Amino acid sequence: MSEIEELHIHKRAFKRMPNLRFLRFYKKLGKQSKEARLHLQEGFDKFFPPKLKLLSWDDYPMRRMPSNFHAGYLVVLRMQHSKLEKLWQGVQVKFCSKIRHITILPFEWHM
Amino acid sequence: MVEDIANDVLAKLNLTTTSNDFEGFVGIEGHIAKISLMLCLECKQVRMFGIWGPSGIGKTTIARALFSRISRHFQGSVFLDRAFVSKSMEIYSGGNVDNYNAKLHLQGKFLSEILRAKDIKISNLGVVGERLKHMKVLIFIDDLDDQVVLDALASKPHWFGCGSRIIVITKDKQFFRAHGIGLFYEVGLPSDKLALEMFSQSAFRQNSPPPGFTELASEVSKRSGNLPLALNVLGSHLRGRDKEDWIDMLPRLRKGLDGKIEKILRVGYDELSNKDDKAIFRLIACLFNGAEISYIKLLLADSNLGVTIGLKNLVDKSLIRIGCDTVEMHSMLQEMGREIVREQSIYEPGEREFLVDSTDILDVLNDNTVSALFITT
Repeated sequence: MSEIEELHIHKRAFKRMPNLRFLRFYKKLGKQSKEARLHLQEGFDKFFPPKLKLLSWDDYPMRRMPSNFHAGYLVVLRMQHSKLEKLWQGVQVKFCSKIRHITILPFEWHM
Repeated sequence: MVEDIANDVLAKLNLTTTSNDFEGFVGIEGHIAKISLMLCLECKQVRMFGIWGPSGIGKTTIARALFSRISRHFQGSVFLDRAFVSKSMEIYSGGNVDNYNAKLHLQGKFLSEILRAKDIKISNLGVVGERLKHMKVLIFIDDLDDQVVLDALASKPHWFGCGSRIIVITKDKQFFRAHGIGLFYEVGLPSDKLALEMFSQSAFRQNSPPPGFTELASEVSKRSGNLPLALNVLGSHLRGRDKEDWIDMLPRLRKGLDGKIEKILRVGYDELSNKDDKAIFRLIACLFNGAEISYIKLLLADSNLGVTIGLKNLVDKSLIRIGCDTVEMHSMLQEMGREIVREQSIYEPGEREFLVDSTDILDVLNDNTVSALFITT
């Protein structure tokens, strides 16, 4: 996301990506970059890809995980520098059996 | 004359004991001898030095060999490359090196590596200088064109003790001027004779072609433009094949004569016989270059791809290398892999297996009219 200034995510952006496996939003190391502005259209998460194995999202701007987020296929979850307050609710552990790595570092995190 | 002096220096420094790691890399001793001479390892002052040359010419291989050869003459040493930086920053929030805390974090990792101590935490940017100013250190910086990273780690010669050497490897000569590096070694293309030796080493595991292959081998090596990366990829591809295969292959290399080395490298991919190996190659080029093997295996665990054997095959074909449990793909090969994915659907980015280009991603996420983005694993 260091190469772009603005990113718009359309509310139906993910609609036709039901089989997406790897999703990564990241900042390039060391590039002197402005913060990329992220515009998430209301309801963008309604079609959030349900079969993700890797979700890695630097600076995730919302306080909640995407509403349609499923952890059933998830192996690696990395949410660095995010504004997350809550992961997800009402998901039974047995449906998260594939998870091996979780890195969640909040926005205010310092060494 | 130069050779004599070089041999003399080598003898003095006891550099001639070869380690097995780099055996078989034709021509490497010549490079090491010349660079050692220029480095003047006995000189007391701190010296910054450059190694320069185009992509695929073998800079990193030479640098690693040199590092393993001379590092024992220093009290502390570190080889900094992209893998080091991304590993160091993995657990750092924010990721952007362009801030004070990130620089501190990176410097801490850097000191830990040089001092061989675990997790050194530092309180301010002056600590590196304080800790290292009486130490003779060796620092290699491979292909880090990033000003901020360099500033954080090795910009000030006075941080380091007498006799320290900071060696910067890059394909961009401008870089030396920007950092006041006046002394550098240029890695040039090998001569035809040396190129044939390199190719033979890769194709036949010996320094010259076996009887009957001399002409073919010379031809293929000529069409690789004498570029070591291409010599290696083609040599690995042709290893163990019979003469008919070689002859069939030649027309495919004709394109290489017009100077497009990418087309030559492409043969290494196209000729992979296994679909899984090709898929893993594309995955690494788009997603996993520099990642740990265990991480890749984890993410591909239920994909039905034969990852272990695939990685082994790709190493065998010189398309990746594995160092310290991480998978590394040469930047030219990575570019090629991404181009292969782009060609899956040039005008409809959403139809490609992976999207890596930020403009394409921007389009796809902002435009609800594109069709699906299928990741088939």
